[in-house]
Amino acid sequence: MYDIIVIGGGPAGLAASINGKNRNKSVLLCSNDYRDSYLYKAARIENYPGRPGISGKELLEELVNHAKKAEVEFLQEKAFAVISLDGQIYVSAGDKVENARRVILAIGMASPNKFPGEAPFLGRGVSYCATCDGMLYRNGKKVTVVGKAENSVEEANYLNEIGCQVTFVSDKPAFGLKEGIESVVAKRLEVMGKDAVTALKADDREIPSDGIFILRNSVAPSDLLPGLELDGGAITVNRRMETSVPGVYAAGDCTGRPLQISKSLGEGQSAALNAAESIDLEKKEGKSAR
Amino acid sequence: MYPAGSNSSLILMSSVPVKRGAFLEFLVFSAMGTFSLCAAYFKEEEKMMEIINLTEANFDTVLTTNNLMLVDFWADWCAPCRLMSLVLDRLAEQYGDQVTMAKVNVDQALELAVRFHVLAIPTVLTFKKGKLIDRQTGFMPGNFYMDLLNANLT
Repeated sequence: MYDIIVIGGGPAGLAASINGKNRNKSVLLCSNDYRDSYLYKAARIENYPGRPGISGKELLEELVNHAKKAEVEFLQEKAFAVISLDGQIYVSAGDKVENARRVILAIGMASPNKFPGEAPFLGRGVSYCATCDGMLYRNGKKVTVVGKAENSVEEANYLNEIGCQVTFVSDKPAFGLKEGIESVVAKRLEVMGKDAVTALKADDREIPSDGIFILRNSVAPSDLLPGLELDGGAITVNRRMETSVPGVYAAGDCTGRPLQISKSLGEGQSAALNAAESIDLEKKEGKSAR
Repeated sequence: MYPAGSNSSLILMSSVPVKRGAFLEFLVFSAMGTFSLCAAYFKEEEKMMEIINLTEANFDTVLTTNNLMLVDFWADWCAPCRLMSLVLDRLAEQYGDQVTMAKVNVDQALELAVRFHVLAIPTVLTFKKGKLIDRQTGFMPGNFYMDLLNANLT
């Protein structure tokens, strides 16, 4: 068991991880590759105090190096589910389940917009997790991958490898797809079906599908931790960065505006220090987060 | 840690009532194949509970003979299913024989997954008197199921 699991490797998550280690806590940082972050692509940042003109790449690399120096443990997997149970928080990420005394959500701003038909067919053909559900389609079933995340091509290739018949849909041409995967460029998408999914409507074309994998960079907070209190899509937190779920903190863009680096760094730090303090208190008093 | 349902030796013996706290010991015993020892061990437990492994062969019988039943569709390659299992284990402890807890391993009983259009896991179906009353895909917290079960206990 870790003291703290941080979910998300942007500025808030990295600041939280570094500060957790500074308080002598074991920290696991669970995130996509930092190079997949949209901040990485920012050529110039003008409003980060003291470092005008720094690039997103440079800033992220400095933060990642700092975290590595602080001996933060990295787990390069996407987190799918978080639960609080018996005073511990469990996180499922990729094919692993890890647990911790505290969890800090630094998952960035997920687009709250779903495609028409996506929510009603969740579990009836719509899936967010290729490693979870791909095997259900392995016997030559038709699956369509909607590639919204940086590693979507890899996931599509995985589905192809295990024996699915894969079509890849993205808003820009995709590269690196295995032979046998058809690439479709489309902007307007809609999930079609009756009892279960039958097709994905991609612009004017209907792609027959037994399953549709919609792969986004981050999982919406309400899907990650059902029951988490939100305010207009942002996670509700108090001054200590505590969410409505005991033991779970949030920091950065996922708590709402302003969506700025220095705000994220500050919130990440604040969340980690408060989490560390409550762990110390709990150990002293011998009580759990419940 | 793997929750109870994801252990194959447990499935073989799913008709044997299992107490959660005895799980580790059970793993060791079953791995050694000492079934007789195991059975003796469980006889000593006071309150027993059962997690039924459902297959196409026993599904309808189990469904019609149980009042309120949660059915968890899972597979051992699905990490969120392990979280769901942890929740169901707690619910099983809490509700004892008031609610029947059952599992469907989609690798072993694909027909059942097809029959209920289960195309993503974990999926939990809740049945009352043989009728499907709730369906949840993806992970839902324990208090959600407590509300659901409490409302349907009678």
